[in-house]
Amino acid sequence: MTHKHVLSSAYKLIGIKSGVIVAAIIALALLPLYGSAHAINVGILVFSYLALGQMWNLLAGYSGLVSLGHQAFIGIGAYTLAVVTVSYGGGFFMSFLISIVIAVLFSLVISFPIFKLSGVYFTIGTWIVSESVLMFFRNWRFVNFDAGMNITRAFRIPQENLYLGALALGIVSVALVYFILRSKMGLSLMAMRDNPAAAEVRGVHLYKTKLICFLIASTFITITGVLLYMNIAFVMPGPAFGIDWAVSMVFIVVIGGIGTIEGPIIGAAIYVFLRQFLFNFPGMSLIILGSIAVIVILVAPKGIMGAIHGKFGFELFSVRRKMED
Amino acid sequence: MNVILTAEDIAVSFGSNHVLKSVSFELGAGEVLGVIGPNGAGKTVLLNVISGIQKADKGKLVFKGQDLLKQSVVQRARNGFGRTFQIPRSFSQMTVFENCLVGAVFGRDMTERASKQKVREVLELIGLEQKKYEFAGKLGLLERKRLEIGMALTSDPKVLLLDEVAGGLTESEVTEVLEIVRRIKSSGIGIMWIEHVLQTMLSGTDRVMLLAEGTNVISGLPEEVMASPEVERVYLGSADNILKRKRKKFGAGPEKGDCENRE
Ligand SMILES: Nc1ncnc2c1ncn2[C@@H]1O[C@H](COP(=O)(O)OP(=O)(O)OP(=O)(O)O)[C@@H](O)[C@H]1O
Ligand SMILES: [Mg+2]
Repeated sequence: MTHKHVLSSAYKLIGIKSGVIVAAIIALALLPLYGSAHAINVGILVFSYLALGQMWNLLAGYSGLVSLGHQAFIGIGAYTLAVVTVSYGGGFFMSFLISIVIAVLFSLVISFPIFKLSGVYFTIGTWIVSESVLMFFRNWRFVNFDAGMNITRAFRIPQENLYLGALALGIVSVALVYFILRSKMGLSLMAMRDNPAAAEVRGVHLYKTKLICFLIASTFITITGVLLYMNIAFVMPGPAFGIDWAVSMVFIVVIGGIGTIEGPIIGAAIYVFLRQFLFNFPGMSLIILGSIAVIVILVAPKGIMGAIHGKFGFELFSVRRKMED
Repeated sequence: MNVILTAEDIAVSFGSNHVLKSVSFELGAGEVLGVIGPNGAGKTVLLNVISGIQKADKGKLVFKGQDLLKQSVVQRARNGFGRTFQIPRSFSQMTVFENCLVGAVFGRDMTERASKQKVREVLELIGLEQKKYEFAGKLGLLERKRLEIGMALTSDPKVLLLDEVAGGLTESEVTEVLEIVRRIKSSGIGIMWIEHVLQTMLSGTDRVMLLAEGTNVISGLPEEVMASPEVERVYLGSADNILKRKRKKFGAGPEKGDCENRE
């Protein structure tokens, strides 16, 4: 093939890719028109979990921040929604805004102690933070202790609206990570993913870059928490701050492919469908999910997307730099 | 000599292992200072101290009138220190072009767009222009060593620290590396070059320093240093090397108590 041919087929491929992406987004946005109520419910979960997975991927896959504590932010989102709408009679928009402010402040505050830790100590640190927040909410009269709160205002939200909200969050999470990776910060993140110590020697500010990722991920997970609890409509400390959230984020990213943009998309879909299916086998579900994770790690250590990329070099969202552009 | 880097009485220890006891030297602009010494002498540790990834217990490191030891790793990179790693540390899931881009963008704090010209020049210099879109993890040893030099060079260093960039290469490959270093030197960069390959020390450096027993034993013109009794005693004639030569000659297996594991 001549140079021109290679170029034109490359352009064709890019054209096909963006065409497929746009068509998929339109088809998904129109789902409420043709999909069943069940499909819409599944959609809400898939896209919410996609947002969670994508953010956990930004933390663990690129910044090396393996957190088992980000359920704290889901809980914070859930309780912000409950307190703003129930205790103060505020609206959903207000809940989102306030949750963002709280998330940024809270992640800044906890970043001071936990960023002093590294590796597995960081992971344990995040977990301890989230357990402490859980304890605090359990003993907080204002939020009704362990008994929880009914988010009454969320009872009458049409499922279609929640679906569109979740879809938007899912798409924005993917787009956000994509544009971050295309930016100057993304170059440093990819270098950090491959070798943090070498990245620092080349002039990359590890602390600053990690902190920015931490703030972004924490905030986005909080927003997703608000949306998830607009659907659940009832919040108790145990489930809202439960480690299950973190486990699902880990599962989604590890199965789909850590450090890839596409990974969490595949991972979230697989996770939600598996959970639906395993609903019929209570008690077995954790064992089955765990076994699947182990098998994938053994067969494809970099997850499904890592294996596809390794074999065929295929990427849906390429962030490769070129000399010419 | 226009001195750009001065080290005074640098010491580093790991627990009771006093690797560097007192090291002092000067490096001039456009000068290539060779560093030789037996395995485990602390050559790499010295480079780590200069680039900031290893803390010194004491000593002074002066660059442009500032005490470098007070600066962070990133500050030093941006102030003009580039280095290679003995075991290449390229970003394996990034392309050759992107690897060099990291140094150009973050080593100089510039935009990606403004850094491409620099990367283009460096790729041409290190001879990896043709392979710019290959993933670093897929490169062979010679290419990875060249890429190490490239990544260090794109940050526009004033001082370049090379750690065994010619080790493990064939003779003709070594000649190519020598040529690359010669071209870098001609642009006025001060180079500190650790190497065991004697050919590089004799024909590629202006001065050679022997590092052994925790200190800079001697330094001077390459031929003088190489012929000195100190080098014969602590380096060329050291127990390790005698053992190694013997084994080569007689094909004997590893002997008890030798120092193989240090390599
Ligand atoms: N991070 C570290 N922690 C503990 N000991 C270390 C560390 N880095 C180096 N050392 C020790 O310091 C000594 C010097 O090591 P160094 O790597 O500097 O040797 P070198 O002169 O570069 O040898 P070579 O020629 O084999 O590369 C060795 O005994 C090594 O074990
Ligand atoms: Mg060494």
